[in-house]
Amino acid sequence: MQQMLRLAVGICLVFFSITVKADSDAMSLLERMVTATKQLNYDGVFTYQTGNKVQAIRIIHKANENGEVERLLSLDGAAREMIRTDDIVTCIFPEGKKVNVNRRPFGRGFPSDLLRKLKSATPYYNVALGKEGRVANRIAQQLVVTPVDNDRYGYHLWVDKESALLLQSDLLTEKGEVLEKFSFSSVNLDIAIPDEALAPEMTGHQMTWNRVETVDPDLIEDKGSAWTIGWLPTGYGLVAQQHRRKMSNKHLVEQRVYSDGMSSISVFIEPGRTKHGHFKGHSKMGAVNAYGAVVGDDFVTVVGQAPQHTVEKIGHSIHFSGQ
Amino acid sequence: MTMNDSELLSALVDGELEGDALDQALLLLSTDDKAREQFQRFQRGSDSLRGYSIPAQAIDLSSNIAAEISSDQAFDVNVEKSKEPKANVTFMPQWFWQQALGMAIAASVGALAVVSVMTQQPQSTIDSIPVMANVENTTIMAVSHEPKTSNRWTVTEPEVQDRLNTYLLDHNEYAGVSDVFSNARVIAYEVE
Repeated sequence: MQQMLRLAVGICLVFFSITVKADSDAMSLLERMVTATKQLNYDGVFTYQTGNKVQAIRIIHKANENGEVERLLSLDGAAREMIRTDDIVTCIFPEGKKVNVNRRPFGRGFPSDLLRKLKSATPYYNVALGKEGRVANRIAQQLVVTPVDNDRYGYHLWVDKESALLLQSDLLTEKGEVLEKFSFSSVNLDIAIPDEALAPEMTGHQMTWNRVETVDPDLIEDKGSAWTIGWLPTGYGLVAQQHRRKMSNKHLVEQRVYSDGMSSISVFIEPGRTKHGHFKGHSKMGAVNAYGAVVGDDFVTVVGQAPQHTVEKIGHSIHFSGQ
Repeated sequence: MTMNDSELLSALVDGELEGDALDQALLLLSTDDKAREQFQRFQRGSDSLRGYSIPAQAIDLSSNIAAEISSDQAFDVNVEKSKEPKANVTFMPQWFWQQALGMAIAASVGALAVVSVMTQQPQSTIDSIPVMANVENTTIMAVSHEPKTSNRWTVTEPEVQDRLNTYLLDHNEYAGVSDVFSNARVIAYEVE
């Protein structure tokens, strides 16, 4: 009997150690993926699918000691372009003959402590290695990211085994349905990318150039926040906060970003104006949900790739707590 | 096929033809294989521009019908092997079937052209218009309808849309693990 018990315990220990190793490998791959996305040169075409709608987009990404430059170009429908440098995001919308230029917050994308946040995300997601497959003619390893509650979405990530570039991302509802899918159909890695490839095809002639906000960052003072978020899903923490002065109305808009390491939500607080309406209630676009409300004299909007009930619950919990 | 023919077909796809010009285009489609191929290419390009991705095989209604007729081996075999037909069967000569096949192709191309003209209606009616009929269930499934949950904010006021798009752009800077793809939402934003 004792021998049987020892055997059972032994089997459990072996199984446990394998599980832990798999999780460790999965986290390691996830971390490599985040780094690869920012450090690699690549030129490829991916599809973005939500509902029954599919859009093909070309992406060219260059990274060197001077920083990152990325260009996206829609291949279906209107030939929209977006060019991101370290400091500026330029969106060209030919159908509206409009160009929007926006300074990137803090000059960089996701905070540099994302890797640390990813590690802290493990209590809220089960991260495991899935099956091996092929995406864009490359061998890919699936990462299965399953949330432990219904307040967040899950992911199936397909990561290139050689370079660790994210090749496919499936965003899943709490019922396991694919809500949104990004997937490379072809990609070239480790290539020299000439500067011309990152220049916009559309020159912007006869277009209206809109600067979304004032450029001088000195005018934008981070004042902290007079607002309190009463509820957030477990594990969400403040990762960024900024005030931006909008060019259109000169008002300061506060943005607070909360993340659990895997995904994030932003809370925008903007002084109310009587001249125009504001978004109230719920709206969605693909996997991104938004909830808007008027709180006192201000407009509060929550935006993020989280379930509708999560975004709404966060929105309901926001209140003004004084200067 | 001349340059004028090509322009004629392009105009047909764009729904700009009527009267004699329309008749001329339909005649061209029914008599010229290259014109038919060119028309299908234009049609696919037009569909793609409107965001309706239709697989190439779904377009080629004429060749589908031709293939169905020519591959109907069972009919030929039964007729040949049947020594004592139980009904009076009139055997048609080969030239008859060739002409019938040609007419079927012409009719199907004509129908395709008419459907093409119909698809020039405002986009709001696309949902209810059957883009084409096809004998294969799989190709019918491939004709996608406009998604009810689209990549567009479910709001009506343009000002609110603009604000949400601006917020989305700012938020995308912090999209998380799928950051590499996040701005595709902005690029792919569906226009009215």
